Amino acid sequence: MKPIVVALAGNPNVGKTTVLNQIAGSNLKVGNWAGVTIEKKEAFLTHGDFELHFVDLPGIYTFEHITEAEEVAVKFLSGEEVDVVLNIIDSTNLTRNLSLTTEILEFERPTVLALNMIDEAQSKGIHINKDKLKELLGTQAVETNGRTGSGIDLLIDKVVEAYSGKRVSKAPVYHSEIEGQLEQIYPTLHNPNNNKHAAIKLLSSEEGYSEVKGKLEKYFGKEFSEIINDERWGFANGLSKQILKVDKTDSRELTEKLDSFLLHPYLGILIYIFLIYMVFKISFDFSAPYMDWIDGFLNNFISPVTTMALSKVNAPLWLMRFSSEAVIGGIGFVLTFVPLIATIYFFISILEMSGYLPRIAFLMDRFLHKIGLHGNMITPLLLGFGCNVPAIIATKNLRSQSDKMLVIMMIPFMSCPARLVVFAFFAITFFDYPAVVIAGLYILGIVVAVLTALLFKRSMFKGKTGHFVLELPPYRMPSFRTLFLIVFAHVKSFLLRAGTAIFIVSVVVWFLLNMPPNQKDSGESIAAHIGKAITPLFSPIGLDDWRAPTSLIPAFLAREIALSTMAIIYRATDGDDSFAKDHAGSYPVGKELKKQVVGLGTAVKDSFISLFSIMPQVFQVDSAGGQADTTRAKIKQSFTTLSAMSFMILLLIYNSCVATVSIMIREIGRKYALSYLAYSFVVAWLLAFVVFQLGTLFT
Amino acid sequence: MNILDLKANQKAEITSIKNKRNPYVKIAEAMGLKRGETVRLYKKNGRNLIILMNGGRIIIDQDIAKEIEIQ
Repeated sequence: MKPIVVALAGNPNVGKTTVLNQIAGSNLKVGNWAGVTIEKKEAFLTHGDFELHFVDLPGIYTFEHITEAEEVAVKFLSGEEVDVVLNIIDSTNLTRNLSLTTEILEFERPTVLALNMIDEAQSKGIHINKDKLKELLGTQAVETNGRTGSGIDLLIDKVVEAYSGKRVSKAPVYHSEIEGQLEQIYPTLHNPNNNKHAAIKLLSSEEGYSEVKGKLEKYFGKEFSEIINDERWGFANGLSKQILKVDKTDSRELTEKLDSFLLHPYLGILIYIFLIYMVFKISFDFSAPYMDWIDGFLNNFISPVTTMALSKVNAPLWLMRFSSEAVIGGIGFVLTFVPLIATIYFFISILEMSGYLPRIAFLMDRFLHKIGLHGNMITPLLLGFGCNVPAIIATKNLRSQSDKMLVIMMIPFMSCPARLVVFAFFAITFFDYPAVVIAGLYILGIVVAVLTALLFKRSMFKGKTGHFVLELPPYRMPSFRTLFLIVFAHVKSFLLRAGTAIFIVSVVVWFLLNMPPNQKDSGESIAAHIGKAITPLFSPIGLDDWRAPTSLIPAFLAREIALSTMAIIYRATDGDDSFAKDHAGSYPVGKELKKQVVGLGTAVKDSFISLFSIMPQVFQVDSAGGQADTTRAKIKQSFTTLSAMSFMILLLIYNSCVATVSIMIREIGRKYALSYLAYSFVVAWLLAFVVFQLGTLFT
Repeated sequence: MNILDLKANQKAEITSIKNKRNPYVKIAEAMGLKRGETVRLYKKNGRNLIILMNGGRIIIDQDIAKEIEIQ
């Protein structure tokens, strides 16, 4: 198999991802470019004797260094590994797209042009003479429709043809004065950078060649960068004039009509609030029954079946517990996120691919700008109230890395339903007006998020989120095939990357809670010893009973686990015996399997019914009766009203969630994610300290 | 006169672009806001403006708008 590396380049919103999906189907892989938070999509395809490796470059308007996106694209195209450049062009906006094409041609690589969205262009009366285009540029050009897949097979053939023929496209020819000076520079360049783009970059870099540059600037009467930009634009315009024929000029009716509502300063905001509420509600309510079912299936079926199988081969009790609680429990915890991530990604992709997402940024910027933030930031922040994990994933739509970092650092302070479970328990147990306390905690989270953003904006990301320049693409119906393939790629990426980390932490926490073996109660575990050792740290915030800090260790898996751990520690049950009793005897596999199948049917039914309810069910907290009442009484003896408030603040602000930390590591790197974890703990501790100590003074 | 002075639906031709070293001005230029292009102001909202040109729509904030001279 001969490998061909194909770089996909194009402006944003030209349908690159859709074309890539048509080419690669489910072989799409998502990740980040090395060292930056810009999303990288790759795909592999076997075609005859060739293995094609497609690499999707970030959507850019120019190769000139403006943000990291351009830097990533230039670095990749300048490297040795690229064999063919596949330039995706939005046929409805040809002239502007040809401006980037001009720069691509400067790299002097075999190039294939995909005249995408050709159907849309034709319906607008736009005709492109592709034969003339091929002749003028020395490239291949294929008309494509990413939504239907039309032209994709031919496109792949042309990519292979361009590679096999090693036919380098013609570099654009600029003004003779410029060409003359560039000729002098070529001999000084080293292979493989012996191309026009590298020569121009060298001239722009102000290292040497100041005399050459000065001559050109004097001749044209403007700065060198301006000369080159004007030449490129002129080339693209000239090319466009030769190949483009437009029958009708005004064909933006649908977009204009929709924008008169969706961009209305008041109505637009109401529609946005409604849409985001529906995205939020449907995503969480629709996925909740499946999440419960996956949890039940693994813990109530797979776990007992595995335990039964292990007991039949006389495996030791600790191994049965490890496989049941750590391995299956850990995998189960990872898998429960899948329905939520899939549904939320589905809706975010619809908002993005339909062209609505930039409109939200336009509407909300009016408000967010007043507190130093940015219109683009609102959607991931709101999603954070549902679950921090998909909210962080949703920051992929932010162009600037500093914006993305700021939002990621705000999201964990948005209180998710996992925290609500703990808040509800403590607020009901210790306060007369639990709803006021819970609302207050939500507001506190928002205030800390805004203050954190302002702090980082004034220090690490100083003055980098000021301006607003964004393209509003026309509204388009997303392709469902592409939507599903994108969701599949992201779920796969989550399972491989974040899922692995979550699973490892689950296993470690299990060991901490259950080692040494044969302990009489959980008070003898390593976790309890750690809890007792760290209690002095928590005493100033009112948590001087070792059992409360100990419950925070497993709560790192998920905040609501703090409650169940407290129940275990406070009741000090004999874990080994109860496990052995629960799993003694034979397990009716057939009967239980039937129950699980029925359970799946119920989950399908419940998720469907949830679509028709008005209020989001995700915020409904089950009344904790029975076992919880016993725990409640014991916890009430151990906490005061103030220490309970302190504990809730700690849990609200401290980024105690392995799934969130794992996804942060994936998005912003280990250094920032772990530093942020420490930051959130310090802020949480300080706030809890102030509240507890001030409260002590007044009570 | 710059783009900020336009009223809704008013058309004008870009005569020059200032402060071209500003990265956001560079992005606006790369999006097609170039000297000689005809633009129309579609809408203003807070600090932002929507500009129509060549069948496309671009949002720029008022600081960027001030850098784009028109007639």
